[in-house]
Amino acid sequence: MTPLLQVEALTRHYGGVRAVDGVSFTLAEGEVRALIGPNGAGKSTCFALLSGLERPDRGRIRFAGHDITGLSPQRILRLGLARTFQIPAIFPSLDLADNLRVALLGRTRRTLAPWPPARRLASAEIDELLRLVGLAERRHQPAGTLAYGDRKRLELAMALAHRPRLLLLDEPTAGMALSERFALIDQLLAIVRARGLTVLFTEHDMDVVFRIAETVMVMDRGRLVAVGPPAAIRADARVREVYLGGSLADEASGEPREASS
Amino acid sequence: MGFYLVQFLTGLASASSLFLTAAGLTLVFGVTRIVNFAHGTFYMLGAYFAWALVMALGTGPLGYWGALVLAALAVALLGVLVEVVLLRRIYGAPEIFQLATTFGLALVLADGVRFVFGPADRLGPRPPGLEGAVVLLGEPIPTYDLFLVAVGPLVLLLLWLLSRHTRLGILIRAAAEDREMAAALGVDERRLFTAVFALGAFLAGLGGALQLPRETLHLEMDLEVIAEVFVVTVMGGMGSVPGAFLAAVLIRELEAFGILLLPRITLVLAFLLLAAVLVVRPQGLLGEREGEVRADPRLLRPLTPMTAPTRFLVLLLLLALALLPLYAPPYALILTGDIAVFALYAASLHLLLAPAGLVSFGHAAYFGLGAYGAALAVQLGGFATLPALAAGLLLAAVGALLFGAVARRLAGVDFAMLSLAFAAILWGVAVQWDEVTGGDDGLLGIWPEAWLSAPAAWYGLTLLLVVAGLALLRLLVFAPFGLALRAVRDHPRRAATLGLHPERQRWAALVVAGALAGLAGALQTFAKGSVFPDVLAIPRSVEGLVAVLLGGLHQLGGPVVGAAAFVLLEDWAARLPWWRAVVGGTVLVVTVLMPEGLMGTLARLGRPLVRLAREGRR
Repeated sequence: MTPLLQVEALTRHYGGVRAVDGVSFTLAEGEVRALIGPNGAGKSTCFALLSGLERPDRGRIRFAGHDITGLSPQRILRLGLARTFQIPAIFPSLDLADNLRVALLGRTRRTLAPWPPARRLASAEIDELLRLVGLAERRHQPAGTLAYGDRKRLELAMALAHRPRLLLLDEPTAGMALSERFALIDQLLAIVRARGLTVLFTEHDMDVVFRIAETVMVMDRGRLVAVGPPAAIRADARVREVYLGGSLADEASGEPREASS
Repeated sequence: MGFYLVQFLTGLASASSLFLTAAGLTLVFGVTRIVNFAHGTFYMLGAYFAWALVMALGTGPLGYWGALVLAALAVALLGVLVEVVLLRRIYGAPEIFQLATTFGLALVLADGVRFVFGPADRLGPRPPGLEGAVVLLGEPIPTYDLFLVAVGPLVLLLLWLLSRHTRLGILIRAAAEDREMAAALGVDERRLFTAVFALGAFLAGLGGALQLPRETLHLEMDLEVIAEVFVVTVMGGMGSVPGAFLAAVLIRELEAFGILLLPRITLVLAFLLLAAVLVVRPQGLLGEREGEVRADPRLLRPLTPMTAPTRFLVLLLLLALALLPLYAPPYALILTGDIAVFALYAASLHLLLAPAGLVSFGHAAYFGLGAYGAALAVQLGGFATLPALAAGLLLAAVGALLFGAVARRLAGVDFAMLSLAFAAILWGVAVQWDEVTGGDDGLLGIWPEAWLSAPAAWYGLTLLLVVAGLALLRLLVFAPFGLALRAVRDHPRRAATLGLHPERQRWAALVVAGALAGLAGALQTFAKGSVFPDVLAIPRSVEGLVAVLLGGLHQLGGPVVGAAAFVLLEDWAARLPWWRAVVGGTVLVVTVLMPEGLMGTLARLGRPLVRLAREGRR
């Protein structure tokens, strides 16, 4: 079976800095994979390249049988690749239902329609999505008033509204309380299994990484330095080195990565 | 050959004063992030001060050159006053309020100049020692022009030395690079801002003073130069002094040679050059690429549909307005019609300002295109009244479509400045192309056909079309179109990764807003029976902005309330000689003291009453 995502020698420079430097990997349908590495390793740039927000200087990206290298974010989304952002990106002046409605308008390409009034559109589907992430009671609250963790949930629902095949999640639990993290992760896993989604996520919390990832990739200074199952990554000497000698056992205790770098 | 050389040098000479003025604006922007609309007024003040000082000190070499420098220093002093008294209050405010505040200031200062110097044009004397002309390859060129050719690069060099080798220069660069970092490192921001503003004002004042022997001084100098300065700073790249130099030279050379080929459309050429530059480099020739421009979070407010009691009140008001011809005198019909037309104009601008988050300072472009479109449809095409109104609307929509093709990639101050320049250029076309537009004399005798000519009939049609336009705007804001537009404003990257097209969405909003502003302009042409270039002029753009801010930016009803208040204020102030100062003063009061506008203030005052009423019911 051909993989869902195929990345070959992906490269992106900013001036003299190689943010992403010859990264290659494949992702099979239904896989849940983590992308870890210290700050500035190139994880977010990688996501920006995959989702079309930045154009690669070199390399190829194939997704679901299409060459998506350099395509616009809108085209890539349409092929079934949706994403969330590290700092949750929502529409603060719109209520939660309207935030999802915007996502659905993007899917149905009705963004120029003058009629009918937007609030008459797709209420059932919106309620369903909000229930999925546990925000159904707040559907009329402006999104700008949400707490950080709830913004992350809302963003996840917006990405799911597009019925993607591949989800890119940039630190899905960053900024959340510990108890909240695992609640969200369990919800996420349930959705992923129910829908047969493929997930690539970055994360600083190693507990989260080892709990849900089937495979872990490690990035450092723009390059992939290790790929393997969680247990092997935990034991990998190069990975320890990347994390400045700090043992991954410390990571597993939930200490945020930034604290030691 | 000599002719072309002289033409080239003349271009360089006139680039110098433009560069000085633009350099001042761009320096101030780099550090304070404020685009100062009163910068053109500083230029005008420099010229008038220089004239007065030369008259006082005499035309000896010391008196003359001393007067030029003293004039620039006086403008710098005024700049310090303005910065300390006014600008310090608005550094933290959202962009639109900063822009509007300096605009209000420009109006007040312009009336100040009118009050002190009077409306008569002034001609400066020739500079001592540089009165004559030099012959180059058989062609004469004024010696003073050669002097100016040297001034531009000299000032560029001095500013470069200042930025590399003085403490002030290093602080300016640090603050322009990263304001928060500079503040965190202990840079005294207040003193730095004052110093930079003084330097910017000095450069504008000097730019104006140097024009003394070349240009007749008149009271519209401020608005003429500010449009050109905006084109130069956007083309050069916001905050880039060398970019401003390059752009000033390019534009002046284009004019110097363009005038040989197409004498009437030199202004249009400058705009086309700018458009070409922006297509290739959106950040300008030497500007730095900025991160994504995001709307100010404080401006991202939820929109709420009308409540049932409000809807009832609005219907009642509409009924009263529809029946107005039965009980009101004709003058009231005309005034109410004016308010209605202005309300449509302001509401169409509001679509850009609030739901689209685009600060347009050139909305008069579409009002004017509509006004001229209707008038020309009657005069050249022999159109009946209703088709002529449609033609006005269509022409404005086409104008918005074309402007959008250039400006859809821009946001924030770049969009504001470019929109002002676009309107200024259309104004220039209306004044210069007099075979078609009648120039300053305008087009006269454009009245509605017989069945619409009775005041009550015209009032009825106006009310009908305006209410339809306002209803359409309200419908659109709550439709998928408006929802997507607000999403694009709130977070363009998020919108793009949800399948929306931010540029296309903004562009569509621009066309809708342009078309409805055009309808307002077309209606005004028939109401007044004539059209003059002032429908395209900068004050018309400001008036729309004032109406929106006066009424309240955050309510859909704001522009309508603001338009009514503004037309009534103007109707009263028009009898005063200092109406500009009155209007400008109103802007200052609203933006600095009452940023929520009438509707917002009313809503705030009303909230305790509503709560009381609710508690009373329980």
